[in-house]
This record gives sequence, C-alpha cells and structure tokens, in this order.
Amino acid sequence: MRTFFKYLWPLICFPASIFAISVFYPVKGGEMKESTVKAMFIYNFTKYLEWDKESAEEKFVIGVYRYSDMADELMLNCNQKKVNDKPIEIVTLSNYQAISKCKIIFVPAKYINDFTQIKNIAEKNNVVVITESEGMCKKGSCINIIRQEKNLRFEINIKELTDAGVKIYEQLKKLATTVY
Amino acid sequence: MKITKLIGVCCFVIAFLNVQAQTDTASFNEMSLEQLLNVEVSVASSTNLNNRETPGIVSVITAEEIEAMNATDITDVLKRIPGMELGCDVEGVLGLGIRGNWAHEGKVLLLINGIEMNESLYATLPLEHNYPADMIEKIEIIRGPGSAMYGGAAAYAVIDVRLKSANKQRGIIANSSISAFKNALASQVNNIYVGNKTSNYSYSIIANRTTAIRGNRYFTDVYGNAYDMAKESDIENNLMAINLNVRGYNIDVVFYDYNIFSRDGYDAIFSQAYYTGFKAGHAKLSKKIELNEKFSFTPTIGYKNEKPWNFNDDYDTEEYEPFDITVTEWRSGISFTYCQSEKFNLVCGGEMNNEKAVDNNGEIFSSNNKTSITNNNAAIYAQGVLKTNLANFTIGCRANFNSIYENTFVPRIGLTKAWEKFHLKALLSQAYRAPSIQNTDANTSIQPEKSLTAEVEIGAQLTNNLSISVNGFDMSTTKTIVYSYDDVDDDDNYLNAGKSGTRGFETELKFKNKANYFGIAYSFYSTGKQSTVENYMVPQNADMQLAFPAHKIYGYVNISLNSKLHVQPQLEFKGPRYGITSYNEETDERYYQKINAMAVCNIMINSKALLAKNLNIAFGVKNIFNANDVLIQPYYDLHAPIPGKSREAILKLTYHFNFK
Repeated sequence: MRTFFKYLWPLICFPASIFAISVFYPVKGGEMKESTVKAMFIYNFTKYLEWDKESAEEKFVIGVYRYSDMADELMLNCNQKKVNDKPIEIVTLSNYQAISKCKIIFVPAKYINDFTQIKNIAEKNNVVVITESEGMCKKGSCINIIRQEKNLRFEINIKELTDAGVKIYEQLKKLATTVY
Repeated sequence: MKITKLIGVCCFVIAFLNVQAQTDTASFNEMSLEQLLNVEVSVASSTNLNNRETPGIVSVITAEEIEAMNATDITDVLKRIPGMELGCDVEGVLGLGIRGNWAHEGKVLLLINGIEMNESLYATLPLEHNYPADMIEKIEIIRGPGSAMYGGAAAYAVIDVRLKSANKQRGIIANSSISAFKNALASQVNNIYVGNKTSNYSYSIIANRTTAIRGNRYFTDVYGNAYDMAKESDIENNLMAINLNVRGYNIDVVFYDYNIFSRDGYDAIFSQAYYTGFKAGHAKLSKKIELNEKFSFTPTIGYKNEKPWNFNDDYDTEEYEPFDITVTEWRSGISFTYCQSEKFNLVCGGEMNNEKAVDNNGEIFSSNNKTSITNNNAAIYAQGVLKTNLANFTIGCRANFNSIYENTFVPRIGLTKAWEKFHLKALLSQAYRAPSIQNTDANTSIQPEKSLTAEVEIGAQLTNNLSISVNGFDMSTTKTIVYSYDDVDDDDNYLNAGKSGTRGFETELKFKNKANYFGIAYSFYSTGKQSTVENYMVPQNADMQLAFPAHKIYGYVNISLNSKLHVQPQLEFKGPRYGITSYNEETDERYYQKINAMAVCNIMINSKALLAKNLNIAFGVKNIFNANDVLIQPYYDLHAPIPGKSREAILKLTYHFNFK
C-alpha cells in the first residue's frame, strides 16, 4: 500500500504545479462570465426598442423564466438602472401567467422546451422574447443571443418584434449578426 | 484578541477593495452594446440539466424561501425536506437521520461553499445553532447516495450549502434575531455579511455569533435523574466564512467554534455542565482553467485544522475524561470537464488527502501505540451524461484507495427524461461509508460499509402553478458500521454489524403564483424487516427503526397580505416513534417506549420595507400548541430522549444596504 501511495503523490504535486504555472500564465483580464455580459446585452437592448403600448406598471419589468443565473446577473447589474424613467424590476417567473406583466422575458436554454407557450402569451401582450439557444430566431424568438468563439453576438427577428408591437431602431439592426 | 485583529484586517481590506470595486463595476455597467460585442466571455457551465432532469432526487431551497420561513439555523430548513429528521447522539450533540436511517456518523455530507464540514475523527456532522440560515443563499439537497461524485461521507445524502456571495449580494446585510421561551431566553443570533464584485475580483465575508439553549424543559436520564435544561444546556457558536475570487483564483475559508455546555452525557447525566467543543479552520484554493470551449480542468488544494469533540478544561472530575485531539488534513485534487456538445459531457478527476491526528494530552492510539495516527486516502472518479432524444443517461463511478482499510469501487447509473408536463428518473447507485480515524483506531479490522440504493421518481406539472413529484426508494446497507459506548472501559466501540436499510416513498406537492405559494411533503419508510442490526431495531415493531417516525408530513402556506406583508403558517406532523426511556441495571433491561404521534405548528409574519426602506422585520411563534417534539437517540445506547423545545416567540431584524 505504501508503494501505491508513493505513486499517487503526483495527485498532490500536479495541482500544486498547475497553480504555480498559472501564476506566470498570462491573465486574460477582459474575460467575463457569459451570463454577466448577456445581462448587460439585455439592458442595452432596451435603448433600441420602443414598446407600442404605454404600460400602466410603475416599473419596467424584465422577467426570467424559471430559476437561472441570469436572474441573479440582471439583479446585480441592472437593478438600479432605469428605462424611460421607470426603475427596472427583475422577476423570476415560475409559470406562464406573469409573462403579461413583463416588457422583456428571457428564456434560459434549459427551459427552451417551453418556448412555444411563452411566445404565444408574449406576442399577445407586447412582450419581447429573448433566448440564448442556437436557431431560435428562426423559430420565432424576437432576439437570440449566441456565442461566436469568445464573443457574444445576437440575431433579431423583425417580424416577431413587429407582431409583438415593438418598434426597433436602425442601429440595433446594424449591430445584429443576422436579421430575419 | 486574535479574532479582533482578524476582523480589523478584514475591515481594512474591505475598505480598500470597495474603492476599487466601485470604479471597475461602474465602467463595465456603462458599456455600450458595441463595446459589449468585443468583450470576451468565459466558457459556460458544462452541464445543462434542470432539476427535472438531474440524475438525483434533489430538493432546492432558496434564500427567499428561507427568509419567508423565518428559519434561524440550518436545522429549521432541513425539517422541510422529506425523510430528514434530527436525532440525538451523545454529549448533547444532534445529528441527522435520512429516510429512517441514522446518518449522523459518516453518511451525510455537508458542504459549505464546497468545503466538507464533517469532522475527521468520527466523520460526524453536529447540527443546530451552528450554521445560520440567514446567511445561506441556496441549499441543494441530494436525498440519496452521492458517493460516486462526493466520496465516503455521502452514502445517504449530500447537503450542498452556498452562503451569500457577491454574485447575488453586492452590499452589506446586518441581521439580528432574538427568541424566547416562556421561562428563558432561547437564542440570540447576530450575522453580518459584506460582499462586492468587479470584473476582476469578488469577495464576501460572513460573520456569525449565536448563543442559545437546547431547551427549557427537564431532561430525565434512563436512571430517573433530571436537570433543568433552561439553566444547563447552553450552546455558543462563532462562525466566519470568507470567499475571495481574484482573476479566477477562488479562495474559501471557513472558521468555526461551536460549543455545547451541558450535563448531557452518554447514559447518566453529569453532576455539572461540561463543554464539548468543535473548533475548526478550513481553507480551499481552486482555479478553473479553460483550455478551449470544450475542455477545462480545476486543480484544488485544501487544508483543515480542527479539534472535534474537544474537552480539555481542568475540572477536578473523573466523570468526564479530557479529550483533546487535533486533526490536520491536506487535501488535493484535480477535476477535468469535457463538454463535447450540449448532448454529452464528462467530469472526471482524482483527489488525495492526508489526515494526521495528534493527541494533545499524550494519550496513545490503541491501533499503533503512538500519540499520533495518520490516514492516507486517494480516489479517482468519473461521471458522463449523454442526452439523447430517448432519455438522458448518466454513468458514474468512484474507486477509493486507503492506507488502512480495503479499497472500494462504487458505480452508479441513472436515466432521466423530461416531457412537457412530466418527468421520470430511475437511478441505481452504490455508495460507501469510509471508516474514520477513530473507527479504525477502535477496530483495526473494520471495513467500509456499502449501500445499494434504487430510486424512481415521477413528477408532473399539473397546471402552470401546481406541480407534484413522487419517489420510491430502497436502500440496503451491508457491513453497517455501528457505534456503541462501553461504560465499563469508558471507551468507544465500532464494528461492522450486519445488514440495515429502509424502503419507502416521498411525495411533494407545490403551488406557486406571483404572490402566494404552498407546499406539502409526505414521507414514509419501512425496514421491510430486512435489518439485522440490533442497535437500530425496535423490539415491538420490526418495520421501524429507533428514533425516526415512519410517517412524516410537513406543510406550509405563504400568504401575501400585500406587497410588504407575508404570513406563513407551518405544520410538521410526525407519526409514532420509539426510543429507550429507562434502563434496569439489575436485569440489564432496556425499556423501549412508544412516543405518540405529534404535530408542531408555527406561524411566521414577515414584513419587507414596512417601516424603513431597507429594513425587514419578522416575527413568529414556533410550536404554538406547546407539543413535546423529543429528540431520540437512534441506536440502543442508554441515552434517554431529549425533551423538545416548548413554545417560542422569535423576532428578527434584517437591514440591507446595496453598494452602487
């Protein structure tokens, strides 16, 4: 058994050497957590969108469908910001009912199976649906955030935005990688 | 004095970091969309499974739910979990039972920010008043074996606690609660949290001080002697947890000093109160290194220094022997994650730890006739998840190698499938309990016990607001390691006693709309008459094990009176239980008493920003009808049940301040 442990010492030495090497390894200073950047994308989209119906709600509600990191990130990064002088409120939705209260609903990739029901409700209630799964703009998402190598990009679907009663500024179309 | 200096240094560091933090965060928060398109992002998490697809029977409780239930410590939260129940060990220490089985000693793993909290001498997990509920961000509980991924202390369950961190809370939270019985102050809890985050680093610091009493009734031992717990069952806890993340290097540190002052011993009560202390310092350093989008690995190094079950004061007594052993542990590991696509990912790795126990009183360990003992342990593990249109398949295993006891190999397989409204899980797992330092010292031929658990869960989303899940389980343990106390030699005994285990089912119904929610959980177990371990048996009921009720119900309703005021009534019902209440020394006969079914009702009222913008006030009454929810020893040593707490009123104030 002693011999066995003698040969397993690399298990201790290996992590130690990795730490040592990583100290000299160039640090990528600008690298951010994906969900943090996505949260800031969502906030920035509000600057380029105009909702037809003036909401009676005192707050600008951004919903996240079911529990995900995104709710935390939005809470951290956008909670004290305003859209059209209305303070932003981040809510986690446990069901479809509260979608109508939102201006934006974000559907995390892990709940994408529920997309069709969410879209049907959102469309009738002037709500912008944002997704993060490959090919979703083609399937009816208003804005789809995707990853291209180390950066995030987004696609927009003008027909879906128009159907939802949301006007889109030209600058946003120019920044999108694909416009449907 | 040392603690004061440490807090002083922390405050200085916080002040410095805060200035930096506000600058960095501000610049990121003001980026335009064009600028954001150029920001490089790190690799997303490897697994993309939600709770309905996770290969395990999992309960998740969030900070919002904990706040609404007005919990003071982690045991208040765990009561809500089906199949979980507290039992009493010795020297006033409480531990957990899982699905009718005593799990306190080495079979339930508690992780705080990824650090193992089970002490190393006996692998026990003392609970109550030591982990403040208000500082918890999320608890994820695997009700079932977790050995394949988490190792030898996770045979029956894993409790993964994430404390509040800068990922969710950027600011300061100050929290204080006080509770009282009719005739005594029950507890005083003070917590403070400070956390902040920038693009380059984040930090969070949590400090807790709790003083409490175990109860306010009279405790009567098996010989008929009694004492007043209101005067002689004090608990004192100090805890500090620090998390620092600098450019991907993650450092977690946890210190605690948990002391129980009690006349509670092994069988007969002591003539005066003595303390039993658990003191520890844990540190863990890790860094996730991403080679490309598909492959990453995380090296980890950990250190622990602890004094569990410590008693070393200079009392002039022979009834309570000094016990002062220091354990130091070095732990190292590396885990690799390969995420081939959204359809397949693999996690594998290895870890090694070296534990050294030194008796500070110069007593010798019986297994090696020295004042110190060393235990080396190594393990390799792997788990793959394959998502197909048919179902998700999980295959995992762990091989464990030890310098004292025999090597162990435990596999697990799982199948999960989620449809639009339904989900199904089928899991088969082997698990093991690794003998601890004191186990192997007391019995050098002791071997790891092994469990085989089969679980099936079916869940349905009945409406948009209403969901239900039902799971069945069959847990069977061979070579069960059992403890007994030899009061003649004043020594601990451990042996592989035989087969134990339970089978049963658990069900949860949950409703939630925007303002209100409720939940009700029912759990049932039976031994199926398969147990051969006398220590856990109930002579008059072969279907049950000592201490734990076969039937348990927990229900709660959270009603929002308006956006600022919430009321939550709670009900906990336990079916009949059995415990040893008296002992006849002359005939060596134990008296097993049936403890009737009982219910504990609580009511909690929470107000958010009612009187001041950042101030939450909570008030509640626990055990409104003054039921006696006794804490029973789940094995046949001669500890009489500890009386439950009587009616208790609680007031809690929480002030939070967010950094800009």
